[in-house]
Amino acid sequence: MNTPDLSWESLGVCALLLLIPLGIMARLQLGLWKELLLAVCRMSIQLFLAGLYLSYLFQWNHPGLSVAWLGVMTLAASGSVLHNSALRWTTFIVPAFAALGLATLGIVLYLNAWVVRLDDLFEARYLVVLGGMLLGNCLSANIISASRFYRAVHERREAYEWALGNGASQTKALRPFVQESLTAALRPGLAAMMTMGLVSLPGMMTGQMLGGSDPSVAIKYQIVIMIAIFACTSLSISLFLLFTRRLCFDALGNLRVRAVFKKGRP
Amino acid sequence: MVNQSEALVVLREAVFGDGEKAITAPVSLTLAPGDKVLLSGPSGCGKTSVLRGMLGFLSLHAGVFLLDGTPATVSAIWQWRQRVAYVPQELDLGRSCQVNAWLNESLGGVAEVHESDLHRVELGPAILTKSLDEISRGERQRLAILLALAQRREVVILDEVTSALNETLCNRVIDWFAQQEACVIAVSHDAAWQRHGSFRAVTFTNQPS
Repeated sequence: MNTPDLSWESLGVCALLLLIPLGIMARLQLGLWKELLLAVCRMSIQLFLAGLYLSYLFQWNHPGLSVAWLGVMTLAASGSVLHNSALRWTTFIVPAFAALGLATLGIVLYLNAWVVRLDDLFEARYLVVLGGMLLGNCLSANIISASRFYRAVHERREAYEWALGNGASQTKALRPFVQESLTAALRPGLAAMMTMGLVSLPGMMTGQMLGGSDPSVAIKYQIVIMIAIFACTSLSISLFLLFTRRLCFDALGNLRVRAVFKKGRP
Repeated sequence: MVNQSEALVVLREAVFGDGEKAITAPVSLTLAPGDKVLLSGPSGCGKTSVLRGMLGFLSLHAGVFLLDGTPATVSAIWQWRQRVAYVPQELDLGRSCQVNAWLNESLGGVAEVHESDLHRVELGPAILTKSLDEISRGERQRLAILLALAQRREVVILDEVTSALNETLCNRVIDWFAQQEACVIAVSHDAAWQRHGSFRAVTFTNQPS
């Protein structure tokens, strides 16, 4: 079974559905219509370009090129999320890149080698698609948990200094903060697994089934993806906190507020 | 006057700051084993900051800061913190773990807080099974005082620890610290500390002398 291709007219017919939100926006004077049109245009152009580069990457199937592409994606993604956080770009961009890159690459290679059992570990179709999927899902959790962690240490400075001032090692004094930020970062993933298949069918699985896959194959891939995302999130956050600790605290264990936060924040 | 080589802490015209700017006025004081010191001065002159400076949470901008007679280096400060029990002004732990678990974790198995100790600060055993975020500021402060006493450290550093206590309890706590073998240094607005008479007052002002 093959997915019927969608013609350009069909996409146009689909776009007519946008008249519904546009109508509602006009009626309620939401003033969002410009943003909606911009968002739809951006999405279409970006996906069109993504389709273009993916087809080239799959065609060339060059390990170095695929890994480099993954690197570019990691860098762009880290930069964009850091831009929207209170964390200082110059301090965090390298550790964010390293933590995400190591975690993603490690887990994708594990999947390719022992789960999907590919002959070519670096096969572009899997490396780029799986890697991109993991990155997209781990990235915001990473930055959110790191900024939450450093903000908590800053805001509850007395609790942290209380532990240090009573002789705790830095690792022990930071443990409650690490626990808190990891718990917060991992909760959404747990909740998603809890309700998966009950409340909603995940996008990837839907896409796969529309694309003609047997549901029993699609669910197996979905399980693999969910576990991989969860593992990647926990690994990358731990690495991220580990890599940034040295940069963000001085030798006496004090938070270097100026290195951690952007000017005037938090 | 104590011989400075026996002193635990020596500050001579010490100014502490946050790395960029100075926060405290110059302060000179010597802490010997067993000393009981009350640090006083107008509010805003940086008493809390002097305590934080003595624990290495602020950096030394000018003057002299000695621990055991030698300059307070990074490794000396880390070791020093292990000999200190410190109770800050506010202890917002922002955690939901059980009081009991928190006490055990903080004491690391070397000491215990007994029910009789709880009674002395007017707390019942029921508090042990409550969550840290359920109890009041005053209750947290009393628990922190118990922890400071239970650790039996050489030095006790107290920052406004009686601010949320009633008069009777306040006096009892002051008595308690006055009787310790440890060197105790306290900052407090509460006149009860001065009236008690066991604490040597060290005053410092905004004006550099």
